[in-house]
Amino acid sequence: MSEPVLELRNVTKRFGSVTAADAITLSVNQGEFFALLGPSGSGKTTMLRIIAGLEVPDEGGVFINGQDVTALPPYARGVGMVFQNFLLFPHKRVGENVVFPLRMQGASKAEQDERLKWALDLLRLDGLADRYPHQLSGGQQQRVALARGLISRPALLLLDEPLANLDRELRKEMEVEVRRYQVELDIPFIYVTHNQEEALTMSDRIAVMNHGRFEQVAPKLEVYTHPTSRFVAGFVGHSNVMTGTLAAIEGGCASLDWNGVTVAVRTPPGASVGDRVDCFVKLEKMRVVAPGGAAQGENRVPGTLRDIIFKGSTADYLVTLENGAELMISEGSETMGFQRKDPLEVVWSAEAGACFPAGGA
Amino acid sequence: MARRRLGPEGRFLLMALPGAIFVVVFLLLPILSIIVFSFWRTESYTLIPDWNLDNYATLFGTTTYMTFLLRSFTMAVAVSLASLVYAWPVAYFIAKHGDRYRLLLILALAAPFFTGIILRVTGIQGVMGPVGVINLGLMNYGLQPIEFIMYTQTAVGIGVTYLFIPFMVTAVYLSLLNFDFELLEVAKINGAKPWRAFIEITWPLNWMGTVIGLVLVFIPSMAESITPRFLGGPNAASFGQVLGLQFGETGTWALGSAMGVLLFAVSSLVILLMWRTVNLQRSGFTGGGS
Repeated sequence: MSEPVLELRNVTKRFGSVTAADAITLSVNQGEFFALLGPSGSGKTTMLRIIAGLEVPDEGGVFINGQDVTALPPYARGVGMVFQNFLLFPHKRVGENVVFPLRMQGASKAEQDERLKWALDLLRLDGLADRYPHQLSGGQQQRVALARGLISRPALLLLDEPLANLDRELRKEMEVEVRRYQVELDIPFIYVTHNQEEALTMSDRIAVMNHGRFEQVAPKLEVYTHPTSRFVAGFVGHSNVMTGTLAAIEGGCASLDWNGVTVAVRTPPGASVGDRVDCFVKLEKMRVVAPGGAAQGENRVPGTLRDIIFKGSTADYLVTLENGAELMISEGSETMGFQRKDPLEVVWSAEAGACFPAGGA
Repeated sequence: MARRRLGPEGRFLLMALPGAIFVVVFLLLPILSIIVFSFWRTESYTLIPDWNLDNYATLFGTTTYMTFLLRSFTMAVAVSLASLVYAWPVAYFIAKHGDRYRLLLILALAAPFFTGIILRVTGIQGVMGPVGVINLGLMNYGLQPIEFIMYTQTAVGIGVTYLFIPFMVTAVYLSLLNFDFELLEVAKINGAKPWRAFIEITWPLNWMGTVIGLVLVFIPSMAESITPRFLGGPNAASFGQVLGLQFGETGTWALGSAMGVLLFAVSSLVILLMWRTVNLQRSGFTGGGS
């Protein structure tokens, strides 16, 4: 395995009493699409700005291709960056915007022309080189920003919520596009977003950030299916949360007393009988079935269908249980012909749940 | 009977009226009258409508008038450049680091205007003149007084710069308020050193504001008459000073009017030339809405 393109060692950054980055250590490899996912204020943009050189960390080091760049200013780092609000130079034409990094490097006119053609081709901007940014649509502006970020073959590309200002349709389209550029260029992309769908769609690996710390860094599937902290379980995907007391533990399996309903769960690490725990089960891991079937090593809880929220390819079933709690279950929309107020049963496997010590809320 | 209501056109005219009256009464009429007078002649303090080109012949034919004009022009150029160089860092500092003191700092710039121009100029004299703070201080320590700030062109230049620099600072400051400083971060990430980012981004995007500042300083500097009278020596008389004389002591209003027309023409030409350097697209001007 070659050395990582980007390495952060123990990077810490404080703003007054707020710790925006708390001893962050990370390696990103060649050709990797890495997403930094977290709510606003979690420190993900600060991380990006530290990598770019726009912020100097209080402690720790930043390494690009093995070289310590911690003390280098942004213009000497050779990274590209794309911003949420595009930040194109309003007084420069599209071509001038895109070619700007090469001009700053003192590239020859011939090379500038050749690379410009390459970048405009890659981003499908042919014919727009002589326009001014304000004459372009949002999607075109973002593509120009990407072209500018990529033209000088940066060691890595940093993207700060680049699609957040685009409307939904365009965002879907651009997600696929951005992923295509990344595969084509084979350089690491570090992609900051608060939108889990974006992170899940595009990235190879995801770091979930909260309060300046990494809650979990893992391949996206693992983050989705095996969250390692209560925060990740709650933030990634859509889950039902069942809060209760552990009634019994038998090895890897435990039973949870959830407001009078006993459900089987995986034993949270280090937990003991009597602990309050939160159990997260993703909506699509639960099923609704007609009442009366036999339990086959699965949780099976009776309830009443309150409503069906039709979403196109899927539908969300809202089920009121006998203990007063409500569960939401995501199913294929053709599933059976349940009507409102029908009695039914909610079924899920104990394995599907992820349990953690109960949070404050 | 219902009162007749004003239609949209009537309302438009009503709203446009005050501005129009102002322009006509205080701008167009005086300029027109000065243009007319410049083709008349004066005799014993009386304007005689006797159409001729003598005033202009005198003006362009007499070396001293042209010397005054050239001197005032050179002075105005030098003052504009000096205030440009001095005002930019001040305005930049206030816009970038002024935070909640911005308004206070800008008001502080206007503070000298609370007194009259005469007081301001004599104040300068109290600093730079032969019995001013600087030279008295130097002489107190047995040093030679600085000659070139006593009744010289330089003294006038410093004085005029001091008078009009707030215009320049304000114009650049207002421009910088609308400037997105994040663009500089973008430039730096894309390989621009700070000075290069300034030249590529900050300067062109604030050129329109800078031009406005330059014009606001140039025009009153070109016409200045009071500062040279107080701070300048016998060899520092300005065009404006001599122009003033025509309407006062000598009473040659027609010649004075011709001088006024010439001053107006030069100033207009400068504004025109400066405006031609502004390319709206290249100033990042996006035409309002879009």
